[in-house]
Amino acid sequence: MSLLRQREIPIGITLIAGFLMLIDYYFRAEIPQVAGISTTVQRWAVIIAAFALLIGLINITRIHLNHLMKRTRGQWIFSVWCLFIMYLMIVVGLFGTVRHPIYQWLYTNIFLPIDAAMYSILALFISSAAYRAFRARNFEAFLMLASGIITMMMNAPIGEIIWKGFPVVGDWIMMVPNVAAQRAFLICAVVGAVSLGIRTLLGMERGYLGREE
Amino acid sequence: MERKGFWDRLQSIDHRILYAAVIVVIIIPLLRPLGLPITVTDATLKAYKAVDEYAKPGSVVVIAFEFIAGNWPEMGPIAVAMTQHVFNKPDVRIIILAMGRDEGPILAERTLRYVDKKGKEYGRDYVNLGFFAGGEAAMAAFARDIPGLVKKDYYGTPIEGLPVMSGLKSLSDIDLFICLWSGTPGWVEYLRQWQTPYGIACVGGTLGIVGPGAQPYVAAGQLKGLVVGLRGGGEYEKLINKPGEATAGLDAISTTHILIFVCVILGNIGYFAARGARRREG
Repeated sequence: MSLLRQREIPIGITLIAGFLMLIDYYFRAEIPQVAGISTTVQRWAVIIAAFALLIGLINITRIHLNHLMKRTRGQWIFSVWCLFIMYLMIVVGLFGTVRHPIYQWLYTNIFLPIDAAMYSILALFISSAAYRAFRARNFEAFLMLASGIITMMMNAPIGEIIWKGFPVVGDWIMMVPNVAAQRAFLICAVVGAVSLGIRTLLGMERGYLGREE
Repeated sequence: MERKGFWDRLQSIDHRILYAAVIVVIIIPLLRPLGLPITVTDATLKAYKAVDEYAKPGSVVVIAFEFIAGNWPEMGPIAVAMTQHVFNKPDVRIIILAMGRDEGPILAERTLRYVDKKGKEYGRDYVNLGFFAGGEAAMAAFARDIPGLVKKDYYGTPIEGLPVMSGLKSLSDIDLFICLWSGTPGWVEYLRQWQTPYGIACVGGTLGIVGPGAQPYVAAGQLKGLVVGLRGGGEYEKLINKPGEATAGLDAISTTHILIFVCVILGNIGYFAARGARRREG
C-alpha cells in the first residue's frame, strides 16, 4: 500500500492537530509557547476550508453532468439549469466581482425570492401540521397542545389583546420548562460530542477518512 | 364507501382549503394593516439595552451575518433594526463579517441599503470584511490575531488602508458582538470560540424557530439579549422608532396565528364529538 493511502498518516495528523487545539484552548496561560503554533494551524485550516468550496463545485458538476449524460427522467432538465446558473454566477462573480450589477441582479431577483419562497412554504406546512397533530388524545398531548397554543399566541400581538395572560404564561413556558429541556438536550449532545472527539483523537472513529477498502 | 360524518369532516379539512385560507389571511392585513399595538418583550428589551450599554463612544462592534437569503423575510428586519441601532450610536466603529454563511456579506450589503448611516463613512467608521471560510477555525483565528487573518475587506481594499481597522489586534479589542444567525454554523460556534474564552458581550437575533433552542444561553447570561423572529424584529423597530417590514408583517402573524388557533380548536371539537358519538353508538 502506498504511503499516501495509509490510514495511520491522517489519524496521526488528526491526533497532533486535535491535541494542539485542546492544549491551546484549556492551557493557554500555562503553556504560552503553543499559542503561536496553534494560530498558524488555525490559519491553515481557514485556507484548507476554502478548498472545500472547490471540491463542492467539482462534486456538483460531476453529479449533474452524470444526470445530463444519462438523460435521467424528470431530473436532467433541472441539472442543465443548475449547471447553467451555477457557472453563470461563478463567471460573473470571478470576472466582475460579486458587486457586478449582473451578479447583484441574479442574486436579488432570482436567488433571494426563490430561496425565500421555499422557506415561506413552511408556513403552509406548519399550519396544516398543527391542525392535524394538535389533538388532546391524552394528558401528554393536551399539555403539548396547550403549551403550543399559548406560545403561539404569545408571539402574535393579537394574543395579549385576547388575554393578558398569554405573554406571561408563554414567557414562563419558554424560560422554565423549555430552558430546562433544552439544557438537558445540550448536555447530552455535548457529552456525545466529547466522547466522539476522544474516539476521533484516539483513531477509533474513522468515518471522516471515508470507506475502508 | 362510508360517508364521513360532520364531526369527522371537521377533523380532516382538506389541506388545500387550509393553504388557501392561510394565504388569504396573510395577504389581507398586508394590503390593509390592522395596526395592532406591539408590546416589547423582556428578551428584546435586554438586547436593546445591551447595545446601549456596550456601544459607547470609542467602542468597536462586530456584527456577524450568519443567515441565508431564504431567511431574509424574517431575519432582514431584525438585521436592519439592530444595525440601525448601532449606526445611531456616535463614534462607534462597526465591523461586519461572516464566518458561517458565504451569503452573509451580500445580505449585509442589502441590510446597509436600508440603514440610515448617520454620517458614518465606509472604511473610516464601518467595514464589511466579507466571508471567511473555515467556520470555527476561522472564528478562533480571528479572535486570536485579526491582522493575521484579515488582509483585505470585501471589496479588496487592504485593511492597512482602512482607519476603522486600526489598532485592532484581537477579540479583546472588541466591545460588543451582535450575532445574526439562522442555524449552524452560528451562535453556538461563536459561543465556543469567542464568548467563553474572551468573555465578550454578545447579543443575538435569530429565527422564531431557532429562538427556543437559544433560550438557555439567555438564561445563563451568555447572550445579553435575544431578538427572536418577526415579532422580535417588530419590537426592535418600535424601540428604535423606525417602523419597517417587521411592523408591517406582524398583523399577518396575528391573523395567521388566529386562523391556526381556530383550526386547532375546531379539530379538537370534531375529535371529541366524534369520539362521544362512537361511544354512544357502542
